Amino acid sequence: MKRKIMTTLLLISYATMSEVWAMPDASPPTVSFNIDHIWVLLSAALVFFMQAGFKAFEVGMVRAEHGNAVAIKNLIDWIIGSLIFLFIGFGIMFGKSSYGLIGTDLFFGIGVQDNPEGSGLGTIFFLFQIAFATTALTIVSGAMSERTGFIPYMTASAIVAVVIYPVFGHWVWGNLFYEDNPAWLADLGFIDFAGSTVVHSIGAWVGLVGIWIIGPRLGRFDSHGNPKEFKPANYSYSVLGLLILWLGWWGFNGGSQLALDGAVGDIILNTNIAGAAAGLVAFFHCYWFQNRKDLYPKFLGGIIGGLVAITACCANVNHFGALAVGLTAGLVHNYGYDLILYKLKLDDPVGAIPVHGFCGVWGTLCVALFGQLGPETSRLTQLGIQALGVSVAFVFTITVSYVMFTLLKKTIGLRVSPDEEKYGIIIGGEANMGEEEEEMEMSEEELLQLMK
Amino acid sequence: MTVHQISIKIKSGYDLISVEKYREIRPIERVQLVSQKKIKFLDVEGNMIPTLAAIKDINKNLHR
Repeated sequence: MKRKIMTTLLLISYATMSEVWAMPDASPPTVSFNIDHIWVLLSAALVFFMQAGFKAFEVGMVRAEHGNAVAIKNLIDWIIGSLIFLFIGFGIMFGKSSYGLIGTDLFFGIGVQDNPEGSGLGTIFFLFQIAFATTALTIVSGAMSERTGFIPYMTASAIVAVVIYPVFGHWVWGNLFYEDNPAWLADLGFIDFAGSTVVHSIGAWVGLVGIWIIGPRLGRFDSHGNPKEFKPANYSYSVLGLLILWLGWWGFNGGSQLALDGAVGDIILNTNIAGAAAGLVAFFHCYWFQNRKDLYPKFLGGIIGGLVAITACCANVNHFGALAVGLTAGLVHNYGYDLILYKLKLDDPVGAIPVHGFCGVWGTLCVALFGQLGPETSRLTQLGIQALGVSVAFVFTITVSYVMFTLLKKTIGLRVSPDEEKYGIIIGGEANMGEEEEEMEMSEEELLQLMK
Repeated sequence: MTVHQISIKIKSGYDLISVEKYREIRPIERVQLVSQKKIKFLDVEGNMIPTLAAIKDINKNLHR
């Protein structure tokens, strides 16, 4: 038996080697590629994968009966957001600027690839930015989940993708595709490297107005305004989502360098340091100083809050700076969480506002507090510029969102029916799962007498 | 059961209003909402209260 195996191996070896010896002497074919393009494309894929993270995180945080609707809404968010951003949003954000206010070309993706004046990344840059835009939309979806109607939500989402996100984005990142484009906040010196404000706070402020106008989920607060316990579907599912998000953040922040150079490693390491430090602080601060109240959501939200905070300054701080950003972001998150739920009595089922709003603002300010600045700019001056940027983002987003949600509320109604809310929203149909139609046994005249 | 909030159908969606906001609607419009089954009265937990009982409860609290 052994002899047979040895003979077979020898024959195979001889056949293989004789083929190699018989081949003419030729060098392997060469493929030309640009490592920066590959890195940004990979980063775009990682940021796209964050959609799966958001989906898992949110589905775990809402009540079990709403999981399906939240997941479907996230999926449609990506579909609508990516198409609308392709057709209109990208041009408004990155097109040739009109007075530094809005972009005026690159609509429908025309002129993105091989544009002699534009970014050499071309379509890859475009793909990367689509993934960013839909991240902002998903934040709104999480904050307003469990009670928002499908049509009004999608209408709002489309308006965010066409107006709010790209217009403010143009003011900060308008010079990323055309380098000579004026972008008035960027020109003032405002720094938001990967979007603590441009992506995260914008999404959070839209969500803030949304949850204020639509009101809390039915039964979330008792008659005295105290929050009642709503059991999340599955925290372990949220942890899976968080880990996917964390991985995606490597691309979110690392890819924002738009090149694979020596800084990318530091950027990703800073991202990890801040996320870990924020999670640690959020956990133990809640454990020791807040009576372990809402410990799990604060722990998970704290980690994401750290990742959000470092997003603006990951390219400007050293590793100790990243640690400082993360440690403080954990506290900002926990106090922000209590402010929203217990003081303002707003219902944010996934904790999107403290994570993306407050930690986004804090991270943007940290550019001035912990970042390495040029010799010509003092920390105080930079802090003023950063504060101006986050204030403009807040006022602009709150104003447009208020008009948008008020119009939607008055015209088509923002909420689902009480039945749908109670039994889980069914997209595309009206739920009627328990309550029977009530028959009125009074005439209209009798009713009117009763109501006067 | 005390009426805490009121759900009103608007086109394809719904709006949730307080009892005070409901009282600001003209009585004739409120009657139409009831006749057209576009209104649901809810307690603090979101459970539905029968219309007649809800209207009487609102009146009772108003005159208290």
